[in-house]
Amino acid sequence: MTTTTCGPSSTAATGSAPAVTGSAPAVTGSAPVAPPGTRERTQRRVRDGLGTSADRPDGTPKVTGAFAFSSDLHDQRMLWGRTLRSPHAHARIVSIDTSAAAAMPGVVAVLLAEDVPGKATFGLEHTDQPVLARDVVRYEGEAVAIVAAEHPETALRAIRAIEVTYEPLPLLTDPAEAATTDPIHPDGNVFRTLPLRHGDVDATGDVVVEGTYEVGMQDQAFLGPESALALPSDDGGVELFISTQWLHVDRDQVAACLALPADQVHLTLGGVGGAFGAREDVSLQVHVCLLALATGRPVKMLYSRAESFLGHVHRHPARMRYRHHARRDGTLVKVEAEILLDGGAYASSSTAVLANAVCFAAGPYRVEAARIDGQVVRTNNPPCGAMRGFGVVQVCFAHEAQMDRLAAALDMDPVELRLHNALKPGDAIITGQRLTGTAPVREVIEAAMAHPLPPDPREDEPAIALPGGAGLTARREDVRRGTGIAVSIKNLMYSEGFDDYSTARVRLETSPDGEPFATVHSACAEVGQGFVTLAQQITRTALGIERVVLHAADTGVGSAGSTSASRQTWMSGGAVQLACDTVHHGLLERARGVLGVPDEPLVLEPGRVVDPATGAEVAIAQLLRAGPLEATEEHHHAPTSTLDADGQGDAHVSFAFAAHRATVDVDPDLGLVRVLQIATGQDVGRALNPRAVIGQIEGGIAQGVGLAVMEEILVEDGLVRNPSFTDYLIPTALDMPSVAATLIEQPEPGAPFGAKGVGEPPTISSTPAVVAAIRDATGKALTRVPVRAQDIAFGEAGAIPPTAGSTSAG
Amino acid sequence: MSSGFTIEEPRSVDEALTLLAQGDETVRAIAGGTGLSLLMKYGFFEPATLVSLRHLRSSLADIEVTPDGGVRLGAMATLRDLEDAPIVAERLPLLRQALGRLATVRLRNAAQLGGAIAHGHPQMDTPPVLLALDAQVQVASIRGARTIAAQDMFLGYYETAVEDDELILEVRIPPQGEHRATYRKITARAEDDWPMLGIAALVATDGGRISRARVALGALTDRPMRLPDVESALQGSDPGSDEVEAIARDAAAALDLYDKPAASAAYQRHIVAVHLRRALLEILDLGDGSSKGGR
Repeated sequence: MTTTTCGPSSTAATGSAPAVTGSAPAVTGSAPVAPPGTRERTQRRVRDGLGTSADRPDGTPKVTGAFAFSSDLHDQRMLWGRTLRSPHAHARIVSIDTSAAAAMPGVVAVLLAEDVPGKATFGLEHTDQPVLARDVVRYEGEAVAIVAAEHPETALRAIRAIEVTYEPLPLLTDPAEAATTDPIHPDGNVFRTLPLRHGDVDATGDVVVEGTYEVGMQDQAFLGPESALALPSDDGGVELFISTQWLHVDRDQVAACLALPADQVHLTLGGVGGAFGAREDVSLQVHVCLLALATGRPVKMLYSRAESFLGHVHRHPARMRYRHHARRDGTLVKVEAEILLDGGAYASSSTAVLANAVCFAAGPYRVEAARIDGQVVRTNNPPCGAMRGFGVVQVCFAHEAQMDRLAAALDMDPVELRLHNALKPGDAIITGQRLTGTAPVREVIEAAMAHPLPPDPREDEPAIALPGGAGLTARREDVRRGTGIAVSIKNLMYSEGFDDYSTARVRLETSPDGEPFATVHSACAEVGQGFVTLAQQITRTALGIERVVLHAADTGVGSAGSTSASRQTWMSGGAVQLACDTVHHGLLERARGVLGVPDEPLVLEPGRVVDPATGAEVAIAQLLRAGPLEATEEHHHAPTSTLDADGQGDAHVSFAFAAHRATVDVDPDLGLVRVLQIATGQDVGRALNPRAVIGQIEGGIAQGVGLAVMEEILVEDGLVRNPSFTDYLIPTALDMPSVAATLIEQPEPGAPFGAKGVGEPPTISSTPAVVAAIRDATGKALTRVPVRAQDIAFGEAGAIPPTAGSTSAG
Repeated sequence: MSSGFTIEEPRSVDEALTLLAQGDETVRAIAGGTGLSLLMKYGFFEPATLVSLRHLRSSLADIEVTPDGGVRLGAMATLRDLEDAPIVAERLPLLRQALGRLATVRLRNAAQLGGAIAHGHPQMDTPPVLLALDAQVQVASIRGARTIAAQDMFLGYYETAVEDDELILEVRIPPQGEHRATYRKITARAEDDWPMLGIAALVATDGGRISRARVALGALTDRPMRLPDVESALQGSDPGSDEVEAIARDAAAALDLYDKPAASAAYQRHIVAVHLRRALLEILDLGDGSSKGGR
């Protein structure tokens, strides 16, 4: 392995971002990272181009408070919309009386299911969720009625004045009973059953370990609640400003439910205050547009925090039973797993979440055989769908606990066991798909382990640095330290044959002062991930100019797809690159005319086009006197296939890997934990903006730590018990561990600029690493996340040694 | 109807007391607002009138030593005022220690002592501390003034001994003499979490024996509680670590607790036993290199 780094990205690995420690041991090979070659010169020369930690265009406004989030939207004439939600998890609607609400002064509209003019239901993959419940409610918080009023308090009083008579129905809250219980929806209780059979499924290993694992319901906990402003437009359509992850899929669902042609529904992205999957589904989009059309006035909706917890999907709770078979030398022979996900009341993206859980059930390891049975079902619990990590988070918690159990059974070092089985390029995952791209699994593990451990505790350590922190609960001698490692694999982009694409329009022209500038028009939803910065960096590098304006993201250009699945750098970054290429060719063509060299290969440099043979040049500004150059391009990724009846097939586009090593201090008597440090190595392909990559890594680790020791939506009889940030806690700066990150840069073939998506991997393996560290400190089983204090204080001991079936099986 | 209330801003205590004497429980005094505004936000309390005390601060926020050597704390001193006051640092280190770790500094800048008592929320840090310090709360109404011992103040969820027409004017802490004390709490999930358990423990010693012991728990049930059995076991004795462990274990076993979402009754009992032992070891100087609870 060479230790040099590739030219343009050398600053990326060791540059100014303080959290990037050490130099990334990048394997460069000869992969062309700057296609086409003529642009290599401009890459090094344009300010704030690709590979630099260029500033976010929205960074200063966000820090100073000037940035307008969608909750800040305002119109002088606007009404306030509000939703009446079911207090029951399962009930028949006997009657609804809106007369008192409708008669209240200041109330302009009260709408029910029968007022929905178009399709009565919506949904991402299966349209099984009513816009407004008509006969039955299937979860607590399901929308029953909507009102619009002159004042938000009036709207609140109006929904309280609506009289709904419910007849409670039997609850289905145990996902294990869903498949055999009477259907609670006409489409049945099973969203998807997915078996996977790989290799010799009857093979056995010398050593067998098994375990049962559970993951609780995590919330995305974005800080900006759902909010939107809808305005009726002159043509009878509607204009919607909305914080979302995918404008076009929202538009299509709104148009269908409103019985409008798609071109009469125009969406513009409002400022998004975090997403993490929770804005992929429709929440208030249809409601606010219905109210605007019914009243003929602009309508604003803004969820309260409690309403937000009921108003969006969550991470699927999971129950998993695993059995790993290995040879004495540690080689994995077979992985068996039964995976049950609770999808809640409506389908959302459950079927795709299950596919991820099944495909990656064995983790980033070479396994000769696998027998996996996955199922995701409908219950009367809150609906679940997309959240950062998307099905892989759940299985990674289980397979990494299994790897530790196996290491203990083999009396092998857990890191050594993982290195021994780590996937390499050319290996196949359990779907039979070969890894044709980069797969630096060994490298990410070694990079995570290479970081120095946090210093040993000092005698005079302030009490606040111990577990329990400000409570002064622990004395130094009450505390034990532990470390744990976990490794993950995540697919990038959509899978199973979906023809995914993104669109970008790039226009190059001169401003009134004669300076050239480019405008990038993409519907890509900026949710914090940094596409706005990247689009500017790509355009600067590709067109040799510094001034890049971002057109508002809206449906006035083709779809960019969803900001999810770690896909926008690849998909929309690629679309911007293609559009820039077309504009670039147009520039060179004009330059050939001006310079009178019809066949010469010309070179674009910052601000000009040069003929390298003669040294003759022409300014870009001069070339644009003939008018602007504009191109709109679509970028599709390489096609994938579906999974066959045995769960086999080349269903995924690309894969990213990460390893996390956690160090924790635990007060075993009280069960309190302080996560001290997460060291990580992450496979990023190429860091196009190192500071943004580090931001994703730190943010993802925060959510992973949250799932490990804090975050769970508590659901009792289908009712959410903690819908507030008082009772649902997420890590703050006081709870965050220090993060030491190494970026492994091996350009991915086929990826624009060689860059892999980086958003999800930090969330996936950080959770099992923290739990492994707590096990190391306490010797407790801890087979469920989030780990609660009482699980540590009272939990079963002796989990790390193998449990049942750990004897030789031939 | 949370939008339909009026705000009165009296210029004197008498004026405030007259406003509170309307015989209407939806007329409430508001000072820092950190508790009441939450109740209003969630719709648990819908006032007809809020009596803002903001013009009364100049006369109700004093912190001073009384002639008997005790301390008088004005009801409208903010928690941050108390935390920063040299008198509190010198004479009531237990209170200072608890305040330094109470919620966040933003909240302590707004919340005031009287409100922290009148709110009556069981998961607060100040009530067990006031119990351990034998605090006396002075209240007044147009009917007259009276004193309520901290021990008799807290009656249940959001329930205190303060009547609807009464206003808390000040808190008196009797002289504590030579003593050692600590406040320890458990915020189980995050630094900023509400306490799951708060323990205020204080011992005064005289010639090697414990002359006075006070132990109060907060956040476990609907009100803070003294532990008289623990206090009497300590009083007059000179316990070693084994006895302390037994005292803490017995105290935990005697508690009547219930399951909560974040903690089962069994776990709560367990943490009382562990945490109380540690607190007592600390103030009895029986720990081995224990943190002294200071900042």
